Amino acid sequence: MTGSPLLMPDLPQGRVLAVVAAPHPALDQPCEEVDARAPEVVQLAADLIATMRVSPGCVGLAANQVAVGWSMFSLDVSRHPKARTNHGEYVLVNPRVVAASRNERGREGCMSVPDFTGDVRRATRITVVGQLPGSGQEVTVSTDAFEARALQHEIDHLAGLLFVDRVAGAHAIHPRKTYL
Amino acid sequence: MTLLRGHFAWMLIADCPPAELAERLAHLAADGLVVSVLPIADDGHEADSPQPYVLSVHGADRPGIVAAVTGILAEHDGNIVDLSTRLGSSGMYLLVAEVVLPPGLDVGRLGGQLSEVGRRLGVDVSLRPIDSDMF
Repeated sequence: MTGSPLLMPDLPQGRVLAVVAAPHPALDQPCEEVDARAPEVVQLAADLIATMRVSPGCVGLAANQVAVGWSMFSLDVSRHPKARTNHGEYVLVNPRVVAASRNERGREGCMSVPDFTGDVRRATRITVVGQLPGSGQEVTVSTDAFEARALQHEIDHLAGLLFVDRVAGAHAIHPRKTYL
Repeated sequence: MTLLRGHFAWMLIADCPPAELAERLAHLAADGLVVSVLPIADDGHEADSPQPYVLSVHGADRPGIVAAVTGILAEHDGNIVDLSTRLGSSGMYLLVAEVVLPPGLDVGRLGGQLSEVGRRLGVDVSLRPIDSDMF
């Protein structure tokens, strides 16, 4: 790992929540910015991590994927074979992309679109600014390759977008028989 | 190029005299292949360089989605050059089309009409320029 892990605060016990699948209204609505220091935001951060950990192949989970319209997601690409730079397991609140470059096409899947994968062009170098839950500390994440793709995928969720909204063309959608 | 239930079909554009090409491919009939070679008129369309777009529609499956969306495109002289549809096990209907729009079209207005149709049908519609592979 070439990135430094983000110093996440201690979180309460997380609960495994149900992940919604498209079509679902929560997935289509832009999420709202929230107070990163609020106790309910900290609890949801723990819940997103707990849910992500028990879901095979899941490297990221946005709040609206568990039907909560708050601008936050969990991410952990550290065990993915395509990851180069990675920052460990973390939750970002109110994230925004501040720089992006070097677009490349790559295959993506999503727990909320269980039957398909798709080819999507994304930036392979990206800088994202967001807040850590609890402290509200603003952090900057500069990364590449798979973690960059995952960040853009999750930030899209917070804007009410799925990867199917960004597929490269009519034959860029592929059936997936199993999640992994 | 596509393969459906054991039947193969392939279409391409070649730069060569059509009669000569047809003669050189005639032997394929012995293998059970049907080959047709047709001349394409050079009508100068490339000079206009129309912008290709990807149209994506997804939501709960219901009748009328394809008809409504393609109808809007036809009103604006949009040309659908490729289209695929999928239906997921959770009832998610997905349509992805590649569309060529005429130069000078108010794409924002078209996008607004498509979004309005989508709202009436309960589906999400997005229209985006196809990313070029050159950068």
